[in-house]
Amino acid sequence: MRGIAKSFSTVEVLKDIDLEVEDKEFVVLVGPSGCGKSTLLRIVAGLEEMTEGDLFIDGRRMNDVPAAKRGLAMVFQSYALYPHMTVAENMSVGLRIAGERKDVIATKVGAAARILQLEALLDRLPKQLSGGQRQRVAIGRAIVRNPKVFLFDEPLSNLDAALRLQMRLELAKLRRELDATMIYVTHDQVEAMTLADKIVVMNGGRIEQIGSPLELYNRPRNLFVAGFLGSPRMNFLVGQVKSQTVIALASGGELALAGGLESSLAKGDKVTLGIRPEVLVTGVLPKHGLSITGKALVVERLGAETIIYLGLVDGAQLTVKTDGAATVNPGDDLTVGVPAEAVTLFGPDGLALQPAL
Amino acid sequence: MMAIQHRMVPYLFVLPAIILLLVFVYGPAVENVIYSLYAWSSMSPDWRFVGFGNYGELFANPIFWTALLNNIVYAVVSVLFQVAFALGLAAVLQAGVFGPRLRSFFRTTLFLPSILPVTVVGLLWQLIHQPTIGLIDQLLYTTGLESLSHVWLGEERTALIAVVMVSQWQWTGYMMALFMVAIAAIPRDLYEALELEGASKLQTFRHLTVPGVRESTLIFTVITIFGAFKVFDIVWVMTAGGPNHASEVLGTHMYRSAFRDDVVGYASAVATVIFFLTISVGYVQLKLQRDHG
Amino acid sequence: MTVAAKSRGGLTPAHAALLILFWLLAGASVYPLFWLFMSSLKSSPEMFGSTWALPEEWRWSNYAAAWEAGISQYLVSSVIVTVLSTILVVFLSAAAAFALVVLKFRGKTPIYAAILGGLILPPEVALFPLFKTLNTLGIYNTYLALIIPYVAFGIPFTTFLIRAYMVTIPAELNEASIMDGAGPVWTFFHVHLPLCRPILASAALIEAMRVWNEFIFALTFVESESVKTITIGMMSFANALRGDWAVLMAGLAISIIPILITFLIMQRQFIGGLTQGAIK
Repeated sequence: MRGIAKSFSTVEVLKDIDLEVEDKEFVVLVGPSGCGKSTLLRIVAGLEEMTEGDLFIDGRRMNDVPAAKRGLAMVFQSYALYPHMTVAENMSVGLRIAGERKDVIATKVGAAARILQLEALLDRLPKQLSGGQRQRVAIGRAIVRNPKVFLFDEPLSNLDAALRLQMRLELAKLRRELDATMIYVTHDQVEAMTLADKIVVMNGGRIEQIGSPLELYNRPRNLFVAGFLGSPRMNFLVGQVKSQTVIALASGGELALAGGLESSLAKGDKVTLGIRPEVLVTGVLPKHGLSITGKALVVERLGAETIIYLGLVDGAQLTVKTDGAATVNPGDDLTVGVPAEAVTLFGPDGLALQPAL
Repeated sequence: MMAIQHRMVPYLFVLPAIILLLVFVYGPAVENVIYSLYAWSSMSPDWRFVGFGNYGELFANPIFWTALLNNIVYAVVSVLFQVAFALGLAAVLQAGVFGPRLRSFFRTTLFLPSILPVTVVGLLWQLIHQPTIGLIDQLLYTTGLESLSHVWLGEERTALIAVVMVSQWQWTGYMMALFMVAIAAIPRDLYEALELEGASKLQTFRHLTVPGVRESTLIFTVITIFGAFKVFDIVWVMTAGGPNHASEVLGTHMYRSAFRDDVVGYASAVATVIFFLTISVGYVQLKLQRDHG
Repeated sequence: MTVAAKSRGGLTPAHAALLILFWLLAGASVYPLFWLFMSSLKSSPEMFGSTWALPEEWRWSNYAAAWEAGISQYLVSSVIVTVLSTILVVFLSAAAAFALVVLKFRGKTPIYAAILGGLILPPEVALFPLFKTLNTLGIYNTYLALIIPYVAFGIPFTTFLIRAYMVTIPAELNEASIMDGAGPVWTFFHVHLPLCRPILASAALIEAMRVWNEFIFALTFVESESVKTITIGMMSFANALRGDWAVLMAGLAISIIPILITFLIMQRQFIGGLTQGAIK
């Protein structure tokens, strides 16, 4: 079993992180810039030191073990390829430093090159390669070291949109081929959702929530996680508790709950309603739920879907995602509805409530 | 262990440099100040503490004042040629008045004197300045201006100026090249904007080029003044400070006191004065830079 | 580069005046050297007798005479001192720059300040104390007496230059090498030094120029003919040859031919490197 447990805090940057990674898991650390995800990765790698806490790999304490001896390999955001060395030389650096024999080096480099389809490029210099090719060389360098864990530091951030998609697919394929444990850092929630077995959402040095992609999407623990995953972003409307089964919205209308609320909330308490754009329906309105009326401010027709930005009476805005055939125009009045089960309620502290449905 | 080795290694990288600097650069500077407080010669082993006595001697010595004045003259002329004139030349070349090949040619030829060793320059120009047979005098004779002829390096009135001008000959082209680089850093579109507004070349020079290289101008001026106060080699080669101390500068005065007249403490005092002057100039530069940001 | 010149018509008077000015300046810059070379091929009386004319016969023997009279010895000394000083300065400065830019350790700022501080100390001021120290160390009048002070005084500027270039090397390269198991020494020799080649070349050029032409230290710290560099050797050479002007010219010519040739071949790098360094 290969597991990593960390509990540590670095003053100001990371606070009290506890995380366990299972063998062969693909874990994604995701969050906005400055949330500490890269720092965490670098601490695991051994490039930075932790102020407190412990790092274990396979049960062994790694705090004082130098980076090269931890059995890890890292793929950097800007690939960090040595500009004056060929692809083959770049990939074999670690082995050459360790003093491996030439034939062993050649075999390992060859194997990695085959997996990544780099055989034709082995004698080129980095400046002669495209972005995607350089990316693969960086990965190749990691593979050659035969690590227990791969660390990726925002590897796709430097690529343009089209390339990013392509590389994402390749990474997914690679992941299956290599069958290794991977820790991946990104700020892009799409990458997180598509690649991860387990997502760790971070913010301001803390872990907000850990879980599988769908778990985090459907049952976010707090406002931050809810707002971070999903595009377009989840709508947040302000409401007030009217009774144990009714929430009144500032934007007009009431939410009728099928079941009752958690008892910790009293009448008059402010709550936030989280509604994903795609669960809002035009046309037939659900019985138990909410209906809201607003004026369409902007209508974006994307062909396969239409995004409508509704302006509500209290100035708030609602984003609605519906199918491409919708016939709404800017300036139209529109009523949308959402079933009660599809609404996530957040208490005044930002934490999600679990209404009994 | 690896951790310990890691901690020591960076220091090993800087150690040789630091040691060399301490022993051979900083050390002597300090020693110099100390020596200046004593009167002694390298022959006899006894030292006599005289406090500021050497400095008193210094300020009372007319040769010192001649030297200082000469340095100031040097500085003023150098700034005129190596900063003002050089800037003008650079602006002309950068403004594209001549085609690129001609520009390159002029830059190279004017730059040439600066790569020559000072001894060659000094000896060569000594010969050019030779009375009657030297190039200068020959030129004067053939154009009928013999009355202007002097024993350039042998007359008290002309010795310093002759040396100063040789310095300008050597370095003006170099400074011009430096200014060319500084001017090139001014964005092209600013020039084009002024052109569209119909500004003349002269106006452009005054309002765009000169302010645009202000920082460089300041630095170059300071460096030139620095050099003018430290100057030693060209003077020593051409006149050794003569005739009769007419072209003496602080540098030659110091050297002679230490190695010819053997009054080491006094020489150290001169050196300290030079150092103090250069520091002040540097300080003024910093202040000016800070004010202009 | 240059701003595009518009009018392609005839020469304006201002234009013409400037052209004349520059040709005069160029001539003034180059003619003395031309005269030097021409004179070196004349006989001594001819040199001043028919100054402006071309040599009657081209007396290459002057050069041989100059060579025998000791120029060769001075050249050798200069080459040894310059090459050794340059190599040492560049290497030590690169090492210091590397530590300052890449490695982590306490006291970086004071150490860097100490290195830069050397820039404001003029060598002339340190002349006599250094003279004493070199004597005490017993290396006066040897090549070391020149090499060591040259290296010491060359470190501040060279370190500054190299450091400015090294900061442009991405830090990730160093991290990648750490992950690969490399220590700082390996990274220095295999990553940073190769990548710094351009600036190392510029720095070496600047240093070599400075050392080759250096005067006051060369004057004070060595005195034997066998150790003198060419810059100083020229003086005693000139003294010894009082009267035999043409041979003196030949000697001067020999001493500057290497520099001239290098300059003319590598004009761009030369001017670029020297001006770049000074600007920084």
